[in-house]
Parts: sequence; structure tokens; C-alpha cells
Amino acid sequence: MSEIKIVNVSTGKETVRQMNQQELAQAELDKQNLEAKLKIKAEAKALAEAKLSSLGLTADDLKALLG
Amino acid sequence: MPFKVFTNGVPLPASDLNDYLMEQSIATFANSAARTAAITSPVEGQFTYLASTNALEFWDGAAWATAGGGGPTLISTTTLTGASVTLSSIPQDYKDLYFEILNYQPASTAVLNMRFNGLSTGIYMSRDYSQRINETMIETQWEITETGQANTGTNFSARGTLWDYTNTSFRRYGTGFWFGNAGTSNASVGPQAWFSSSTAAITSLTFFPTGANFTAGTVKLYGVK
Repeated sequence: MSEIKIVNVSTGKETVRQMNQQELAQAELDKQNLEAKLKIKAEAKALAEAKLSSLGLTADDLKALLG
Repeated sequence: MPFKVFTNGVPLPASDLNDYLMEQSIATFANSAARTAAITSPVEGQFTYLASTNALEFWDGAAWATAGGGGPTLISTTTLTGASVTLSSIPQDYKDLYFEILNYQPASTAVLNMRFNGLSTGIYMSRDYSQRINETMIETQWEITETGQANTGTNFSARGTLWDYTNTSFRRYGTGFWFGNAGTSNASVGPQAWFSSSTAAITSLTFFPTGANFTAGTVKLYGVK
């Protein structure tokens, strides 16, 4: 997954090359950041659903309230 | 400058060519810098064509203005392939940039993102459904599609405008929306607002799905005056 494309829109010249070390490291960091964000989002959702459930409510009830 | 009707048999001095013919034709230049170098004292009503931006412009007495409607001008159409696509050397002749992402499909579940000028530090903020108040900017890219969407097998498109992208008195910001469908029955749609702490004029845009490759899609970039 390490091929990138660069297009100079002023000249139309297109360059396709492999990522360098810095770009590879950035791509890995981006992936880790997204995984962390998804994990936090999933945990927050599970917690919220548990709280709603303890009140006898569901997510659909909340959607209905919020319109 | 009055318009002259030439007649047969009358001598044609250089002054008539310069004053009437040259200044009443449409001169073509590679870009605005070449035009400025060639025309040091434009005359009101004088027309030029810029090849770099495909723009027909006229001198309104104070500045070069776009002739006719101010609709978007297509700058680039590029197929989305690989891990990222960068559109570089973006002309600085427009006021806003408008982009279209068409039929984007990642190789696996991934958010479609955008960075400008290759900047990847925590200077970005995206909001996909409600306002954000006084939050620290820690994001390292703008999100075009929403985090957590099951992208695999879904066809996505997005539109967005980056307003005033060359004005270094303002921080960079934009608005847009995305939509996707995994078939004929299910669909997703959402707004986006983007903000950055950077005031740098945008000279390049990089589009990339996080942790996945593009398998299909096209990005079109337009300039709007």
C-alpha cells in the first residue's frame, strides 16, 4: 500500500512513486490514530447505551426525542 | 480608444497597428505573471486570455476581471489510486477552491482524509454533525467522510469548498458534504466543516484513505473567482 501519486496541476505532469521512510511512518501513525479514535468512539457508544438501558431506554428512543 | 475601420489603399502606419489592432485583439499569455511583464500599462477594455487558468479577462480600469460568468474553472481531473493522491502547484489566481470526489472506494474500512501543503501536525479540526466550542486542535488531517463508517463495499462521493484559500490574513477553512451507499437500500450522508490554525495559502492538496489504498474514484479540482 506504499505507492503514491503526485500531480502537478499546473503542468499536468504525473509522478507515481513509492513512499519514502518519512511518508511510511506518517501513514502508520495515521492508521494508529484512527484505530485509537475508533476505539474511543466504540467505548463511548457502549457506555452511553448501557446508561440508556439502565433508564429503560434505547438509542432509537433517543433519536425519536432528538427528532 | 475609438474603433477604427481600415480602408483599402490607405497607408498603414505602425502607430495604427499598435493603437487599434493590437489593443483591440485578445493577447494570450501562459499566466498572469507573463501578462504583467508584457502589458505594463493596460487600457480599460483590453482583453487577454490566460492559458494557466483558461480565463478570459479584461482590464476594468483598476484590475483584471473575469469576463462573463464567474463559474468554476476545472483545474484538474485525477484518478484516485495508491495510498494517496497529491494535487500540487495549485494556481493562486482564484478566490476559492472547489473539489469533487466521485465514486471513492477504499480497499478496506477507512476514512477519506485531506491535508494541504503536506502539513501533518495537529493544526486541523473537522466537524461532521454539530458545532465544536473552544476545543484544542489536535487532528492531523481533515476528514472528508465520517469516522467509523463501514466503508468497504460502499461507494462514496463528496463535495467541498475551501474558501479564500490564498488569503494569508485568514486561517484556512472549508465546508462540504459526503454521501455513500452500499446498495440500493442503505445510504449515509453527512455535512462537514473544516478549520485549520494555519494561514498559509493552499498550494497543494493530498487526499488519502487512512490505512488503506484507493481502489476506485476520481477527484476533480476547480478554481472559483
